[in-house]
Amino acid sequence: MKSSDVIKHVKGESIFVDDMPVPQGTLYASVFDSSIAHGKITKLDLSEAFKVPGVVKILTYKDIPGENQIGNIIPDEHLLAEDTVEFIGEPIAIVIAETEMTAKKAKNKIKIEYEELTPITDPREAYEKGSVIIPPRIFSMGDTENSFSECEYIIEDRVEISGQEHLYLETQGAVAVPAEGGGVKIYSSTQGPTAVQSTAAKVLDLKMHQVEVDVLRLGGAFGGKEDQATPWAVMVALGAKLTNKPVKLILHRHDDLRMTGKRHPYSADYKIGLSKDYKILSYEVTFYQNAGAAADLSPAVLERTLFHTTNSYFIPNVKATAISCKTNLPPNTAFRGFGGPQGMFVIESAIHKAALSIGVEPYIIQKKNLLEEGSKFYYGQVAERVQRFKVLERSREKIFI
Amino acid sequence: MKKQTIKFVLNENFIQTDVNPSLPLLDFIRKGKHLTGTKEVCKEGDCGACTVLLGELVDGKIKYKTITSCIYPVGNCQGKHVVTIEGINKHELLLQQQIFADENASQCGFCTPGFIMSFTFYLLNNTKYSHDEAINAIAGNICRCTGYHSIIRAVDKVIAELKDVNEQNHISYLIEKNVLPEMFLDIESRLKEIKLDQVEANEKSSIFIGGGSDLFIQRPDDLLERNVTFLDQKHLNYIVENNNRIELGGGTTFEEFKQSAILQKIIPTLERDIDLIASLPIRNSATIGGNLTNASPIGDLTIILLALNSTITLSDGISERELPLSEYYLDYKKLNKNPNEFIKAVWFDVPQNNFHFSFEKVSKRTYLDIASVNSSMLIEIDDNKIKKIFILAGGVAPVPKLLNETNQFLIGKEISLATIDSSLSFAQNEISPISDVRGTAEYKKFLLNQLIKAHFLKLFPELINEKEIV
Repeated sequence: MKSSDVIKHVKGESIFVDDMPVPQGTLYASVFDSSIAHGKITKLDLSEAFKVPGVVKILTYKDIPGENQIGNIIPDEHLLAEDTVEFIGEPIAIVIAETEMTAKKAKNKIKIEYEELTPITDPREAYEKGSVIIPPRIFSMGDTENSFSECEYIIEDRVEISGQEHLYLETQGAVAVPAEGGGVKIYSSTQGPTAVQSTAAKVLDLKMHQVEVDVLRLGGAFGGKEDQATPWAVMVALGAKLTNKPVKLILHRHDDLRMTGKRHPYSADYKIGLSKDYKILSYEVTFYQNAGAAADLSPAVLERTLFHTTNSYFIPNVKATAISCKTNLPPNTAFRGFGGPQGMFVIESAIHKAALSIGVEPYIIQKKNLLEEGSKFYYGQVAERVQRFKVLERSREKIFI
Repeated sequence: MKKQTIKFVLNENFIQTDVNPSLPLLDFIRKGKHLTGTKEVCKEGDCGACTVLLGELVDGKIKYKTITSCIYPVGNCQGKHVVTIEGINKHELLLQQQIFADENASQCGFCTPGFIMSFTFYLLNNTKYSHDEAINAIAGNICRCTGYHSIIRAVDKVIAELKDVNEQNHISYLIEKNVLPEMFLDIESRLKEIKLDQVEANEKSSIFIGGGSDLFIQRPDDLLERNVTFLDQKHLNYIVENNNRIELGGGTTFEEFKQSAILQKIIPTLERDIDLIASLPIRNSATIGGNLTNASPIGDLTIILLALNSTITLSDGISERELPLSEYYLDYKKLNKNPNEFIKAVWFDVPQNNFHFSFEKVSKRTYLDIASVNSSMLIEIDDNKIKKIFILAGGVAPVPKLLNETNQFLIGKEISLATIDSSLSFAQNEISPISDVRGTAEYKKFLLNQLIKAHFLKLFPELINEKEIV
């Protein structure tokens, strides 16, 4: 299948948000963000910044006409920080000026003081301290405890999985233009136009129909613009609403890297039990998901980890516990696989560790336990036309031979 | 700030502008001229999405190269031809564009113009094509969607279509084959018509820009407000050999360094070594003088030129002085240099007798990354005995470090694994690495040991048994 865009792409004629000609009088936004991971804002002085010639407005949460709330699944995330900050890169104020350079210069003149609080970056520590996004979720099937007693081999260990940066080539950005009757039109590089529309309406205190969202295309997203394209789009909409002029914001790469969430790091404990002939009889696992400072899409990502806990294997007795832990990092978010890879990585690690301690090739255990025609999943679905074995053999040929 | 009119050709248009010469070319192209096919992605020359062609008259003939326009100042474009994707586009697709489209070598499209520009340059700059060289030419371009296989397929298909290259009229041949637009035919004469203003001496300035590939990453905003001198306009790029002495102009680029037959005689692995260091567009802009003056303790060319016992010529535009390169570095990022001095030239004597040279580096990413530790070694031997030796190490001290004690210990010794092993404790005593993003102090100490062994193993495989190395 061919993308209808590809002819424009190879000529560099495809138009992305930053490529659109801007209307006359367009203003530029720059976002002032927290330099500490956790603390109370004791003083915010905008006076020097406001004196920079060309500065039009500097917005804080106090300027928001509607709700200061951008949380999608759970309403737990401010557009602009109020009294406390919970991660480095948390937006606090938006400078709106006549040029990009002026906005940036003025931003650097904002003075802030904090009373620092101890940050948490480790999900296990967060869990111990009761800092969670949602209560633990458990998926279970069969009876793990009893089945361990039937196992010839039992292996337990811990797995650490790091995060990952999306590095979509086009950074986050949006342009908003005031529309008739007090509405706004937003050009956004988002995977979730409806999220942008409803959130902008909520923050700006508008009806949904007063907010139009236009998404021509995205320069890569990979999940990173599913929920996290929203704040920037809402910020320019807020700016356009309050200045009655078009406002543009394209994040510099460094700002994007610092301020936006990544793939969730996970820490996990597992216990796997195998019979003498390498059948996996029992598997227990606890996932500590590092969600960052707000829910974002973490609960949904967490569920996906649970769905993929046993990867392509049939294991009769499983107990998987997953905890979305709240830490002082930028809220982590969707990323290709959406939690699946983390679930799969732990079971594969368990199989490799088991293979190592038994002294067989991991492939032997993998092959022995693949889903078969008729295997049942957690909710009773029956696997049909199972291709797992073929896939494993073919990938083995590609990789090892 | 001193005003300077900048004149160049952008695609097919003559440009005469008084814009701030420290403005990155990318900003001029996108924001000033609304040529939006050239993309801003990393703004530090690492991804290639902003790649443009830059043509320059060399001995009356136009010579093109690629640069990353995000970290290249407009001030360096005087009298040149800047070509963006819009400049090569025709109404119908070019051969390479058609094949990229056919092979789905583009998904989101944001990196694509950069790939097309890098690849077009490869086709333009070479008359014989090979898979490996073509891939190397696009090594500075990042794509996050495709996983690269469709791009590699497209590249192979294009070069297969261009087997019968006519070397006499390469540009005409490429125009006939629908690789280039006709614009390229008369650019040479158009550049010759540009009358450049006399370059005013501006040595009072405390900032000198060579290729800009580091300064425009570190402090682009600051440069807009400073008085700067563009060394590019002094044309200090040359490599000559005279009476057993090799002299390089301070403005010599990494790519010119790599391609130099004179230097390849001294460093047989030069091409591999330099490919490791930086991607083609960076090699095309980064200069020797810039690398040395950057004063990074892990400057790759710095480590190489130090091992060759180089001397630098510093100039303030009026007078000149010579200084052994090893005396240029006082402390971390502290130089034995007046603010109004720049490196005009670097020279070293051709090593005599039975000498060998080796450069090694380890970085987090194998290619195109800042070294965790790098090292170079110049060694002269006589009957397997070490007569002279200079081992340099980067990333293990505040300055690029000559391992004096280690070298002293090794002189006069026979080359063997035992000798090398005993020399390592001297090396360890001379260095003081710090833990940072590129590795812990402990790891860097380990790396240096391994790199010293690697030098000897590479140069003297008959004297060292690889299997015995730990």
